[in-house]
Amino acid sequence: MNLQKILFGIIGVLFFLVVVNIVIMNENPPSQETENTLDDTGYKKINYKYTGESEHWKGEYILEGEEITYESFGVLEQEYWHEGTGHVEYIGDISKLNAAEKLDIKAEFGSSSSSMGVTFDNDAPRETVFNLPVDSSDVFGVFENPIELKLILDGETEVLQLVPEDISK
Amino acid sequence: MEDNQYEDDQKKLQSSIGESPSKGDKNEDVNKEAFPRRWIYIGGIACIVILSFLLYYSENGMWSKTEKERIPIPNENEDVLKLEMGLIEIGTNPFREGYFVEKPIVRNNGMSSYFHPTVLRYDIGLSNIWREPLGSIRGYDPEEQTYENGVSVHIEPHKEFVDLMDDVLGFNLFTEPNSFQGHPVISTINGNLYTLSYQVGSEFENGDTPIVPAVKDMDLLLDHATEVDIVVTIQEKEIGRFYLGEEMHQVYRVSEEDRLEVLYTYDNMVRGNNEYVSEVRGEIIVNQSYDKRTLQRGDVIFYQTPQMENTNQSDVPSNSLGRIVGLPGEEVSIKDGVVYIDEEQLDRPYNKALIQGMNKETYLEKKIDDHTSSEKEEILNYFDQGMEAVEVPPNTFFILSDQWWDSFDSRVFGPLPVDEIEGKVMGYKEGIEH
Repeated sequence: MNLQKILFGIIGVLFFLVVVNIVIMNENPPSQETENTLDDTGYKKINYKYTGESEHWKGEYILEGEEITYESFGVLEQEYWHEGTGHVEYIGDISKLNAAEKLDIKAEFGSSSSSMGVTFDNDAPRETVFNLPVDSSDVFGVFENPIELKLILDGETEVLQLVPEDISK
Repeated sequence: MEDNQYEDDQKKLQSSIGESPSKGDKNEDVNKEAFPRRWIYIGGIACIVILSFLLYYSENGMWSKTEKERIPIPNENEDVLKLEMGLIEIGTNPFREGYFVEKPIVRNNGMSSYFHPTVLRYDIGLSNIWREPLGSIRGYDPEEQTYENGVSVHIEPHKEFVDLMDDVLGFNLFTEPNSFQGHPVISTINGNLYTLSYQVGSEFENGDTPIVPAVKDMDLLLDHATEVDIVVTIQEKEIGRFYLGEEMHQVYRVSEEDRLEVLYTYDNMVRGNNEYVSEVRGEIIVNQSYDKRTLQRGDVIFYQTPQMENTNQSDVPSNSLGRIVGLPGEEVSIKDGVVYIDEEQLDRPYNKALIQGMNKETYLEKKIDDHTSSEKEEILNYFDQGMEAVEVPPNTFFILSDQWWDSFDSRVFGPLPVDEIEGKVMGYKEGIEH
């Protein structure tokens, strides 16, 4: 009988702690730390993969980073870092690429853009993978926007859109 | 009446005896009682376990996870890092250690100036071979500017090196670095570079720092400077350890006699803060005994300006500073004011046309109204300038100023022969406080 009382006493204390815990949790809602969203501590993890494929090209861009927003002397401050890397690969008829003289890659991000050009050397073996002229700072802050690429092979333009996917989950 | 009462009682008693359980019935009843009690105990214990579990794992509750527990950390014995570079240097290197100055000395003329200590410096390049970034800025303390979950790098000397330091210096350099530079996160994309500097001594008597040891002793220190482990930790948990004696490294020292002090007044290297201007920064220190094989992209060099066609040589400084941008075998071009190496945009801070460190957008926003319309056109052309691809032959480098405006560099005279390089710029002698 005494044992039963002790048991019910322990369960009672635990129930009390659960109730206290629920109250605390209601005041501090759980964070979603693995998503690209700001959590209760002002922290945001950034991990996106942009992919896309067109008739002759497929591309990929990876963005990594973190962001913390905090208040200092009444002013909102930010601490962050970001890095990115990406490439496009020619998947069309290789003879067309082999015969080409020049490739221009233009990347557009809303109001800004960047570009790079490749002049092919006929004597050298032809590469099919090309780095993207995309800096992580171009994408940082507008993660949800697709990256618009214009691939101009000897004047012939093909548009390739790299669509973002949140891979932090 | 009493008899009737007695009979009734007897009947009741008999009937109650008739209903009383047999031996077997008793056992069955005992079992009936034990069954629910046992389940009460089991249920109670199960409740305690479940409630404890819920309490412990409830996020943001009483026993919520701390910031420390929220970041992923590799398991022990998991290979997550690769040492890509180890560079060791000893010397007085005020440009690199500009943040690393001692208290000012007041000169006889009443002006005060800073001096810089001699340091043993390690540059450690690490790449991340794990599945995600190592370390985190989560848990950043803005007041202390510390990262609770950041990557930390420290150096542990081997016993022989500790004994040598005892003999030469009288103390162990590696108790704590005098300066530490490096990002708290090692990304999977670019890795990271960590710089640790340890103060060996000072050239000046100042009461705080011992005088630097003799040159031969410093050489001895440098010879053994690879006898160390580079230890990488997160939350004091070791995630990497590299013995530099077995890894790739370069050892490098600038002696007094190899130094050249240059009074430099030309503004071609200005990035907005009078960098390399001797009137502000002090004389430029050039190391003349550098190993030419160690020259790399980004190094600032002091060189003899080559003869140029179609240029009045009297307008050109005989010597100049410039930055190595293109290496032998590479093809350098400029498109819309941006440098390309082998058709790929150069990913460095010195990759574009700047004025006072400002790029086109910033300059147009802040400064363009200071100019006349003809100047504006000239400035726009400057920012959008181009250059056909130039191949960098063996034993030459493609040199650019940090401020291309009115500058004579490889855009004008082509790739610079290595023999024209007089030395590698280590920094400035002292910053004069006006």
